[in-house]
Amino acid sequence: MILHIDLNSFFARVEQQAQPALRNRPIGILGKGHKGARTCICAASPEAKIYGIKSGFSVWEAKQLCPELILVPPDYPKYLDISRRFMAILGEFSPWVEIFSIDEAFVALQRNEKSEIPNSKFETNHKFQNSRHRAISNFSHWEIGHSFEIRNLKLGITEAELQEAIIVAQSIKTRLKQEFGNWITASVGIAWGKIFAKLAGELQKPDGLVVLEQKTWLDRVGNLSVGELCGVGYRLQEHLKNIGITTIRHLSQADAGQFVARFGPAAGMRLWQIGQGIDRSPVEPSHNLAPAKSIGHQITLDHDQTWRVVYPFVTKLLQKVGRRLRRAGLAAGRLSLHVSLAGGDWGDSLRHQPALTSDAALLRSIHFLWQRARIHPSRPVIRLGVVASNLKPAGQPILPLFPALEREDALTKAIDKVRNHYGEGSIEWGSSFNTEIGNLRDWRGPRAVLDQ
Amino acid sequence: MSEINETVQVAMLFRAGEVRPAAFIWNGHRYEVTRVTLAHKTRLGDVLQWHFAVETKGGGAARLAFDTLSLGWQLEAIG
Repeated sequence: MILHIDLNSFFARVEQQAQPALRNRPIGILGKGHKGARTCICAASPEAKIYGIKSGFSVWEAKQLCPELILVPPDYPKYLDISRRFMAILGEFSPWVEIFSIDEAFVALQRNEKSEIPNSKFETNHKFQNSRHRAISNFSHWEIGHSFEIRNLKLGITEAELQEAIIVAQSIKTRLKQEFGNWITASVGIAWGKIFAKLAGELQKPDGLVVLEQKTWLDRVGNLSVGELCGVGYRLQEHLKNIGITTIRHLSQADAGQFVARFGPAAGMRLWQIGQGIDRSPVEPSHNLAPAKSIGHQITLDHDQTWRVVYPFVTKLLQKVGRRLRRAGLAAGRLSLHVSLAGGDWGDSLRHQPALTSDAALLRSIHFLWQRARIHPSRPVIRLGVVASNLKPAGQPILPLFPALEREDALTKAIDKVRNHYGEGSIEWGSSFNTEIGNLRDWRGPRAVLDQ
Repeated sequence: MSEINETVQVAMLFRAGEVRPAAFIWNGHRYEVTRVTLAHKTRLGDVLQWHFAVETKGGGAARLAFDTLSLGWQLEAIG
């Protein structure tokens, strides 16, 4: 069985838990750069959602719908800490936890084909068995009919497995309340596959617990839009609409050949299988995931700034990319710069052999791309992005033939050491000094600036 | 809540595995903590900080931060 656990209106509920004055009131958490003209709502409380306010709305739009909306600045370090503790709670119940986003995850209660775990890390499953046994023994009975049904299953899942899944789900909800308080709630969906578990979780919000059974799932969700299925986005929904498929029931009645011809053998078959209630995608614990193919950062500027003055933002983004590269023990074989300008986008990249790791080498490369851009200095810029790709393992020793590179490498190591000790913003290149990305002070003690 | 970011004196309560702020003094006034509504931790470099969102007697709220290096407390915000 697979559980999908989603923390309801996560950022907003965390703030309501922390600040009782915000409870039962419509609140909107502001996005990054919340002082600018492009500020949007990045999360809305359930009370705000009643007015139709959703993530991505501009503050102006949201205020039109609900003038009494309370705007709350974001506190990302707090959300990250709560998220880590949430994932750790899930890890008490199963070694197979797939982090799907900051506030949702899949949990497999039985090993599935590909979700192997390294023996060295989990030599025994005592920890998980203990949590589950404790959970089961605490439930001498469970309420049936509140939001889920238990029926005999004949399609590969035993009743005992189903009952265990329900008890684990209830125990997770109880643990969340113990750890964080009553205002941080989760909706749990239980099903035989990830897509269907996520769909089940969507059926009751907030604080829901819904089981979808293979035998009856279509009766229950057949009339829902295909867009409710995870992975069916706006464009695919439009394609499906063009061939007369708007609901999940339509999807279940479609012909496999038609899908293969239209969407290709892989995507077409996958779509057809979902319509038939088949989803064999495994729950992948994070240590099983493929390594990153690229590392990038981007920023949407608070207000239009001209090309002439945005270079400090580029170098700031680059330093964040460099830091993540080195933490992951990687080097960039290619560095790209992306710019969204009023009236069109621009992008360029450079290949590097050997691959780059040091701040100085990355800065040289981005400066070259910057100069090559030939964008008019007065042209307004909306968004900037820096991406390192073609990633390779770092750590190849620098030949003593190039003492300058050796010095740069040593300098980068020293800078990283200062950042590890005093925080990310404690030392930075002069070209990005006083350029704010985010709104929190991210260093302690004095601050150092390096000449570029 | 208004941002304050001032050093404050805090009395702590240690009880049955629970550690929480019990009261703090700010601007010459003593505030009794009735409940911790949320606690979380952050890192600034290699220093761990604990943050407590608390309710105070009389229905007020505050945010306190404990720095594990200096062992000092800050009143981050009050409202």
